Amino acid sequence: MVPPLVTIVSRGTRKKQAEFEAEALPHMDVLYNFALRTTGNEDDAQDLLQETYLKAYRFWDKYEKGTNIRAWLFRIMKNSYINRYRKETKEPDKVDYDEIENFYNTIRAESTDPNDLQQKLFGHLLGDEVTKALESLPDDFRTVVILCDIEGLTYEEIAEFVECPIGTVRSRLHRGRKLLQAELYEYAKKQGVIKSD
Amino acid sequence: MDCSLAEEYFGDAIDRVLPTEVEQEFRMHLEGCCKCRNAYELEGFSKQVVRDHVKYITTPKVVRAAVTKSLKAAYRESLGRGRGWIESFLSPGVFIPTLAGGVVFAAFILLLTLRNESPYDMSAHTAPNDVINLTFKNFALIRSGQFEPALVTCSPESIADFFERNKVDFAVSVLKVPCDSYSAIWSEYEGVKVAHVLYKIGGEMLYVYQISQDEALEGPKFSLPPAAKIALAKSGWYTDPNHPNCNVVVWTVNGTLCVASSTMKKDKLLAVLTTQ
Repeated sequence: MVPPLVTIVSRGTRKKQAEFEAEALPHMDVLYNFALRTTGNEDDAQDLLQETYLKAYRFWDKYEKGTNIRAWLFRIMKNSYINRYRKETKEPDKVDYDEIENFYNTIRAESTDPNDLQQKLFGHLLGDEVTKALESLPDDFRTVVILCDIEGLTYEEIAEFVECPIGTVRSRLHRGRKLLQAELYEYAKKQGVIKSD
Repeated sequence: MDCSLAEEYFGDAIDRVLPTEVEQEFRMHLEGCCKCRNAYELEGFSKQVVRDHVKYITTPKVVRAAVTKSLKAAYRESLGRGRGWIESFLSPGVFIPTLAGGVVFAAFILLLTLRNESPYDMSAHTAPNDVINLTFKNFALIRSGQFEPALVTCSPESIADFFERNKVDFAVSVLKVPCDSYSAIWSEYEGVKVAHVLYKIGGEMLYVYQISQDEALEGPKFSLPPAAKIALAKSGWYTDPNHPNCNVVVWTVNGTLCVASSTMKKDKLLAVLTTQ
């Protein structure tokens, strides 16, 4: 009597495992990249990825089949990150935007030709510097810049992932890109590409 | 268009989602405003820089292996949990007395039903594919916590949207009664879609099993007691007589067959169902 009943339980669990692997594992690369950009180092990214997949498997029965699984996995990852890794919150409304405006006034004074500025500012940058600039952004801004500019998600998909209105996504994207420019400008100054004041 | 409004559209233009009705005005403003043109192009460059310099990385093999290993441990744990309670239940000290008690109880019930049952009971619903039988089984699973809903909400409109999103191909009936909560899940029986709606009303549960009326009454996959078919054809309603408290009601609405099973008493259940 024991083996058939246990077999039923095993078969049900194995079916769950097979479904989970078929649907969730193909998104590992996308999730890993997001974890890496968000945490800034490979060890934390690996831990975050593992935690995300374990939680996703544990709550697999709660996932509504046929809905956007990538959005569901991203939300688990985002919440895990917030609970475990985000110790210092950089609140968007505490960023000094006057500093950003001053940046624009400075670069306008230096050059009126944006193509010249592109070459000066961005032509000498290496991948590491851009990655560091991205990692220095506040979490909420970095998330939307990564999802839009690297992952290529639409505003609607980003709004669903981060659970905020599309208007907020637009605003964070705009401000995030401006902050990024300011960071890259600082790198360029440190490299001597742009003369310091 | 002024500069502050143009700035609001920078992101949309860079990401190529600028509304067409705004595009011409936006481009004209950029042509005439050097400050905005510079700012717009710089913002576009920052997107390009991120795309050009931040490389997309394939998950390293060692990371993938670590994730797979931890998932396999989770699989073993969940398998072990499933086996654990079954093996405890099936130990001789528990199983044999339970089996003996079950046999005695079944014999008692059989004795009672044999005395009352006529050679052919028009209201019997013991067939495995009988809709009333299926409703009872599901309600028992719900009450024991084994049949979990996919959606729990305070809004009946969300229930209707849920079934529409999941392409349930008949009109799911949602009772408009004040509830503590509404829950929903859909499933398939022999390839036919089934909608399940659970209402929690002041500590009592009302479960409604719903399928297409055509499938229930004319299709090959489901059965209904003859007495139910006759009553539904006459009045659109049927109350099951095999349950003294009459907590099973069947009705048709908008091409859907609904079977309600509830912990409520008969009069309260009928009052809830007939106020629609």
